[in-house]
Amino acid sequence: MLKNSVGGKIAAAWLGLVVFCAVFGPLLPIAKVGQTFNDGLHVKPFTNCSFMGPLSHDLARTSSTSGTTTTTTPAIEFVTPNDIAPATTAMPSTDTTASEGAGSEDVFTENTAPPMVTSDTIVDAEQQERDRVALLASTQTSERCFFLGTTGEGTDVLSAIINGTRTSLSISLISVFLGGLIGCLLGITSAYLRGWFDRIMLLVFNIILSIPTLVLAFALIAIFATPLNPSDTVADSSRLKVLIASLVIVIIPQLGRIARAAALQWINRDFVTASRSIGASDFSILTKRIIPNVVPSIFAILFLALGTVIVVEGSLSLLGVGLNNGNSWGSLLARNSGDLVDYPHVIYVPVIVIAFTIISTNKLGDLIRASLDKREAKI
Amino acid sequence: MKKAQSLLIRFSQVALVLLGATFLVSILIRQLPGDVSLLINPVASEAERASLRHELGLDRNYFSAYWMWLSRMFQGDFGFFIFGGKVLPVLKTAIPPTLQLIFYTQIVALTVAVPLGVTSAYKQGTRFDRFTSTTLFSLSSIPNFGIGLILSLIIGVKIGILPPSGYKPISEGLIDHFRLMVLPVLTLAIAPISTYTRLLRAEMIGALREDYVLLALSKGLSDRRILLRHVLRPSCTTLMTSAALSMGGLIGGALVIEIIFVIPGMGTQLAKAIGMREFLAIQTYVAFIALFYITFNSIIDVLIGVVDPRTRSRRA
Repeated sequence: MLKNSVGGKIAAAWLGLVVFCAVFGPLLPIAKVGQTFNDGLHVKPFTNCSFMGPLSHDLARTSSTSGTTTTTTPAIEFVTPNDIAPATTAMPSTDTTASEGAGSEDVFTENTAPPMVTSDTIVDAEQQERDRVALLASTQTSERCFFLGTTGEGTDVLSAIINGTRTSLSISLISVFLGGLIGCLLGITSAYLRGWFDRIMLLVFNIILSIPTLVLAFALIAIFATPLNPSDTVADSSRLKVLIASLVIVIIPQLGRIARAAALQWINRDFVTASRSIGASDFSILTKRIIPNVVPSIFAILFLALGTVIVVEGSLSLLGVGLNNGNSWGSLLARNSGDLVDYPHVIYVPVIVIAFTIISTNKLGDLIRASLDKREAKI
Repeated sequence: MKKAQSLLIRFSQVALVLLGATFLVSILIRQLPGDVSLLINPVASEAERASLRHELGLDRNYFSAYWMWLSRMFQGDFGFFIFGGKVLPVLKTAIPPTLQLIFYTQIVALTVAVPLGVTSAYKQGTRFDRFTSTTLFSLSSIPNFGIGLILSLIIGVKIGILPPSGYKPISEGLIDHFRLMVLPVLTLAIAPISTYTRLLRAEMIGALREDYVLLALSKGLSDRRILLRHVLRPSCTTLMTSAALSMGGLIGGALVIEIIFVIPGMGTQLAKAIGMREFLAIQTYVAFIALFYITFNSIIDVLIGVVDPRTRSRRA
């Protein structure tokens, strides 16, 4: 399927990278410039990257160690929000306690082993803090690279994106999987049973579909993730649960209708009639004859749905009801959309990452559909 | 007679879906946590709160509360805001911007997509065809809020030839109105342009293989006439169905785009109402959005019958 398509290979490679980041990304601590520079100061992209040479050349005293240029004092160019005379600040290498995060990942993977903070090892906050300080001390002597710059809160954009991959991908994977599963079961059953069950299912699907996807998801989250007291905030975990649940509700009728239509194409085929005439039970006809034929075509749609869900998640964040902790692609975008004019890089990066991911899922979905069409034509 | 009957069935189906949708919303709204009567009047006594709850229908069951809402809607009472004011005047100002946005988007999408689709079907397999389909595929994969933010930044702020955000009604000057609408419409139109072009191209390539095209060719008709009269017209029905189906996406997209471009339409109002927990207003807004979506789809269904006589005879 992928053999003759360069685009398909690129898409598969990108999705592989995304999955890799989703699995291993959270091992990477989110790099931060430090607490002291927290007032909407952004680091521009490509600051202090070894392959480009240090951009803040007035500060960087370069000394060559093993072929690459490194700065003895980590120099970061800061830009004040109102853009009067870009103030440049050097971070003192002794100031380790004030800084919260660590340097960029490609630097520290070369120099030090990252502290493996996995979900099954319980590390208390103190230990984490000590790890961070140690990590910072080790990166202080080498070079900080802000490949994609930082946000107004001093978070490194690249590491925030990599960290957010897990949330973004798991939201879409879980909701598409659950929604697809329930939708397919309902759709196929109603196509097989026909009669009043089919009519009621179709009516329910149509009713839910008559409210546009985003409006329904928006309303569901707003209603179920509203705190009792308007001044309270909802915990991120419950927000996440509600978000996934509403996306599932939105997806069920869409995939249910497609699964129903797909199942209807197969139900009157001769081989189904044949197995019915030899006395096969409804259950075995459904599982052995119909579902294996319907699932591949649903599979292609699932890929397309994955892309749609990522966009909906981002839109909901922008509308202010999604995640807002900057911990997923959409919420990173929403959180920083106010800085658009002065620091466009915080917007470009998540948008490009989301766009690449959606292009990839769409491309793969298309390829699967095309290869299915060929198979269909042969039958 | 037959036709009237099928129209009647169609109409009753639409009414049923609409009733179901509004009922669903009214059930959902009741799930809002907390006592709404306390929101309206925080210092109310127990008796006052009970009468407030009675007035809002909160002490009734789902069905009778829904019936109350429905009968009020038909009497022209569209509810009120908990923090003061009626919903109707806000609705009157919020509907035009959203409708204009969606209407312009459909026009732009169709005027761009039809020539593109016809040309790439006519020149299928050429460099032009491949370039168009790849470009449109990539562009349509960019989330619309991303396109909106970047367009408003680059064209609106950096280049500065168009205002980056805002809205002015037509009455305040036609040119200003359209200048402000260009960016949001462009943002919204990219996805439908891609869908329509792809569909039209596929449909026209199918139609070009039909025997009647061969007949027309052998009659010596010009390519142009064949393409437009014999191929485009039957392909239009798919395009129209797709236009109706894309309406849901457009309404959802319009919500986000309105917020990005600061247009005081339904999306902005809905977001505001949800933020303030104006549950009466939310119910009315969602009902209107569903009404619009369903009505548009039914109109397209009827129109397809007019454009394509084949479906008419098949139905009868």
